[in-house]
This record gives sequence, C-alpha cells and structure tokens, in this order.
Amino acid sequence: MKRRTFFVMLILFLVFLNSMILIVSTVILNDKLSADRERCLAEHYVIASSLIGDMQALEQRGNAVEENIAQLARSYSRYLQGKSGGLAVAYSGKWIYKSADPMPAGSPEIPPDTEQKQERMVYMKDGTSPVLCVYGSFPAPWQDYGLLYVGDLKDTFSSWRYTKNFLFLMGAVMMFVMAFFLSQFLNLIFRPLRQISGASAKIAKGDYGSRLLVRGKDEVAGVARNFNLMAEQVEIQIQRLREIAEQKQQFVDNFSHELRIPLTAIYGYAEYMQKALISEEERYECTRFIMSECGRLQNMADQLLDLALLKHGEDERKAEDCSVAALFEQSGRVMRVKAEEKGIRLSYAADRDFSIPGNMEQLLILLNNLIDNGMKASRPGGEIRVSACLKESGAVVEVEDQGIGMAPDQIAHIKDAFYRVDKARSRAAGGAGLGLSICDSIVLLHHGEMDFFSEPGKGTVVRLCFPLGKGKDFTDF
Amino acid sequence: MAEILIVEDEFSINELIRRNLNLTGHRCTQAFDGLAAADLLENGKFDLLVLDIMLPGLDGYQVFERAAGTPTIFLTAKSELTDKLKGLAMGADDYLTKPFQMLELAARVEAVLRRTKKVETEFRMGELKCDFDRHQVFLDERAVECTPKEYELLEVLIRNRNIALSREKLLDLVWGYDFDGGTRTVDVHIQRLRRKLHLENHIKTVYKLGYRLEVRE
Repeated sequence: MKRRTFFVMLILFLVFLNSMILIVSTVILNDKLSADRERCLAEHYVIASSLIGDMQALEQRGNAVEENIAQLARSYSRYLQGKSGGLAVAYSGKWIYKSADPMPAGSPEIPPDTEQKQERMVYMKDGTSPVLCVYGSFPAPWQDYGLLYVGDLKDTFSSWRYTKNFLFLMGAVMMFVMAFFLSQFLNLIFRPLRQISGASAKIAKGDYGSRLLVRGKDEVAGVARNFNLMAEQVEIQIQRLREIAEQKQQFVDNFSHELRIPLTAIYGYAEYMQKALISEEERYECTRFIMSECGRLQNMADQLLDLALLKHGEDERKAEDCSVAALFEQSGRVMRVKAEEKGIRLSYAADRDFSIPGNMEQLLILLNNLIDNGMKASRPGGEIRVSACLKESGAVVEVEDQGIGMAPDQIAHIKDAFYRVDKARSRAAGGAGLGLSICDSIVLLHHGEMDFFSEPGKGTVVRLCFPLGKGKDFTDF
Repeated sequence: MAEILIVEDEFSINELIRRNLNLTGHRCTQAFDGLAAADLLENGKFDLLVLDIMLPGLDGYQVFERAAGTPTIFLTAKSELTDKLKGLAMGADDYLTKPFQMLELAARVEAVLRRTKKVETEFRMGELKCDFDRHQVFLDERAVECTPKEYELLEVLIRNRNIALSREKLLDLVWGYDFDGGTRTVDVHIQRLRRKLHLENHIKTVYKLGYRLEVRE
C-alpha cells in the first residue's frame, strides 16, 4: 500500500514537473525566436534602406546599378560578419550576390514568391544549424531587386538548449528530493497503521493487554481509538471466559476430591471385609460405614443435579406469589421435627403476611437449607429464629442462630461449592458442601441478595432480600 | 509391633487405617485434626506417623514440622506431583494416595519401619518361633529345616498376618514376577508349611481368594 502510494505520487510528480519544464522551455524558445525575428527584420530593414540609398546615389551619378550592386552588398556583408549574419541579393529571379557565411547549406534557392513584392517574408531553414531568413523586394523603381537577410540562430538555440538541460537536471534533482520527502511523509502517515498491525499481531498471539498510543484527532487516531476499544472488549471477554473456565476447573477438582473420600472408604471397608479375619460385630460396623458413605454419595448426586438444573435455568417451574405464612408453615412442618431431634428451639415470625414473587418449591429449599446450616452450627439447647418483614428495598427474610459463627475469611468462601467451615462436623452430618451453592443459585434466580453477618462464638444472621417489582421476568431469566 | 499415630480428619478413613494396621499387630493412636496430633506428638513417642495433608487446625505439613524426626507416611487424596514432591522434599519417608489398597498400606508401613529399624526381629506363636535376622524357623526351640522359598513364604504370611493373600500375590511376593510356574506351586508350598510347622489350624484357605495366616493377639 505504502509502496504503491509512493510510486503513484512520484510518477504524478514527475509527469507534472517534466511537462512544466517542457512548457516553460517551449515558451522561452518561442520568446527568443520572436526576439530574433524582430532583430532580423530590423537588420533587414536597415540594410535594405541603406542599400536603396546607395543605389539611388549610384544612379544619380550615372553608374550602372546592376554592375555595382554586388560591390555594395559585399561591404554590408562584411559589416554583418561580426554579427554572424549573411546577405544575398536577387535580381529578376536570380541571385546576383551571396555572402559566404552563414548561408544555409545548399542555400537559399530562388527567392520564393517574388510576386508579393511589398511583403517581407520570414522563414526558418533547418540545416547543420538553423537560420532565420528574411526576404523582401525593394520598393519601386527597384522592384526587380530583392534582399535576403540570413540571421544565425546558433546562439539562440545553444542558450535555449543550455537552459532546457539545466531545467531538466534540476528536475531530476528535485525528483530525488521529492522522493526522499515523500517516503518520509508516507512513513509518518503509515506509522499508526504499522502500529495497529503490530498490536493486532500481538493480540493474535495472545497478548491481550497491548494498546495503541492515540495522538491527535484525525481519522487514523479514530481508528486507533476504536482499535483500543475493541482490544479492551476482547481482553474483558477473554478474562471472563478464563474466570469461568477456572471456576469450572476448580469445581471439577473439588468434585473429584470429594468423590475420592467416600470411594476410598467404601473400597477400603469392602476389601477389609473380604481379606481380614473379622467378627460379626466388625462386619456390622464395616457395612454401616459402607452404607453411610453410599448415602453421602447419593446426597452429593442429588444436590449436584439440583445445582445443575438451577444453574442452567432449566427449571421451568412457574413464578407465583408465595405467601410468607404458607412458606413458614411448610418449612416448619419439616424442620421442627429435625430441630426437636437435636434439641434446638425453632421459631418463625412475620410482622404480617405478604407475598414474595418466586417459586415456592425453590424458596422452600432455600429456607430449609439455611435453617439446616443454622442447626448444624448450633449446640443443643440453642435457638434459631426465622423472621420476615417488608422494607423499602423489598421482602426481607432473616435466619438467625446463636451457634459457633464464622470468621470474615470463612464468610468470603462460604458460597463456593464444596467449601465447609468445619469439615469433620459437616461430613459427619452427611453434608456434601453444596448447600449454600444451591442457595446462592436460587437467590440469583429470584434476583435477590443473600448477606451473612457473623461473629465467631456468637452466631450468624443470614439476610435474604427479594425485590418486589421484578417478579415478572422470573421465568425468562 | 510398632506405635503408630494416625492423623486423618475423615472418621471413616481414620478408622479403616486403624483396623488395617491392627491386623498386622501394630498399636494405633488416632487424631482427627492437626492440633490434636501436635499435642499427641508432644506427649508421646511414636514409631510412625500416617499423616493426611488437608487437615483442620494445622495442615499436614505443619504437623510434620512438629513431628521432629518421627518417620512419616503422607496420606492424601491429592495425587498431584507437586504435593508429592513437597512432602518428600520435606523429608517424608513415603507417600500414599487415596484410594489405597490394604496390601499397599501394609507394605509401605512395613518398608518404612524396616528402614528405621523398628521392625520386629522375631515372631512367636505358640510353639512356633521365626527369627527374621537369621532366616530360621524353630518349633519348640528346635530348628526346622526349610527351603529358602518355604521360609520366604512363611515370612510373607507372617508380615501380612490376618490378611488374605491371593495365590497370584504370593507368587509375586515370594517367587517374583518372572516365575513361570503356575499357582499350584503356592498350594504345594503351603501344604508343606502346614505339615512341617503344625500350622493346619492357622494357615486358612480363604474361599476364592487364597490363604491367610490367622493369629489371635
């Protein structure tokens, strides 16, 4: 592109420059020739007038003009030799005198067209050197005589040729100067393009952070600015994809780790039963371990399936208005039994009945999961309070326990799949470490927020907040 | 017989390891988190530490630093090379990844104990005595003539006592991988051992599996 532009511009410049030189030199030549023409005409006039004067004098003295005219003409031609001119005199169609120099070779023939006697005619003859000829007949009574004046154009042409050559030489020099500046200029113009190409090559190689320096406000700067915008978007998207891939990888890693523990136990106890000498009591214990580990796997599979369905939004259960009273009642039916088993008091309280837009089943899973977490964190004799109220920000549901609580760095990880605040306790209770991941997905589906307020040793408050206006677009989330 | 501390936060797996090690006559102490393990290490002396890496409280590496030279086998679900290298670079004696097999655990424990000279030098059961250093077998304090293969088979059975060993496994352990003979060889040698050493009631044939030396301790 740059090369092409360079050559096209250079050729245009050359054509333009050379035609200018051509035109100028032609004008100069024409100018010089017309000056020469004037000069020759003047010379012709002067010589012709003097010659006529001399001829009149000869006639008055009674001398024959015809015999002496050559004599007269010779003296003039001698005078003309200094000016590199030449003379020829014709009488009734024949040359009666010719000076030696600078007659054109093969030399003026019979003066052309002697009919037009009063007119002088100027013409050029080409030969070894171009000459300018002026021919005119004498006025009456010597109309039979004619004078040819030949002016030499050698000087004119040679000086013109010199000027012309000089101009072309200068043109050639100008061409190199022009070529130099043009290439510099094009480099300047094309530099941003080169930078853009370099930056895109870098991006193509995976260096998504490379940017262009934007200078000025012209079109190229606009391109650079847009390029930077594009690169930024690409970088952001790539970053997002990487994060998602990392999360997935993390999930798979954790998942395989989680799988390995029950598998190790199941395999181990089965092998132990097969190979070791064991008592009936031991056999019972081993099978109990195997069965509880299988239960854990089952639990994990169920929760994973729930999570997958929620994450992909394939759950097509409809959004409805869920009454808080109904929600609490259904939750209470299941959870009160569990709470009693563990010796934990569980209470529900709502200032008045109102509706949360969402899916009853999912909200129930969410609430029960949170209460379950609270119970796992509580000591026997502890208390869990579930409350609901309407605020400006939306429907707020809180689950409060007085259990062991969490440190801030634990809260930061609590929503990660397979994260457990207390591994041994959670596993002993059959948890798969997916409960809060599921809760988080449900809250997200309902456009809500879930916040944790906790202090180690004092207990935890989980606050759910659901906006009330956004119920309608629940299904197409 | 060695004192072994098992540090593993998973109750079921900790229990599994304890039961396995008890079979071959080791005494085990269990710890379920890093801090408890550190306490036990401070107050008692152990011949071997079976240590999980991912532990609540202190992690396995931190516990290992406090173990002060106790021979250690790291135990982890992670099988990544970097973890292995880190454990071994810190001076661990061996590595075991979950899931593991009984014989693998027993063999590694045995190997580490042998390296650290904590392995038993003789085995007694009733009137039978086996001297591991001199490779000799006594019955009522009288030496019994045994072929080298018979002795080796007996030692393998004793080292893995109470665990059923398949005929193929016994071939591997006693005769080596390149042995061409069939599993009949094992049966013949077992018969001879039973007869020579009056072990008919101790070397039991386990249905479909192989043989087990049963020792009540």
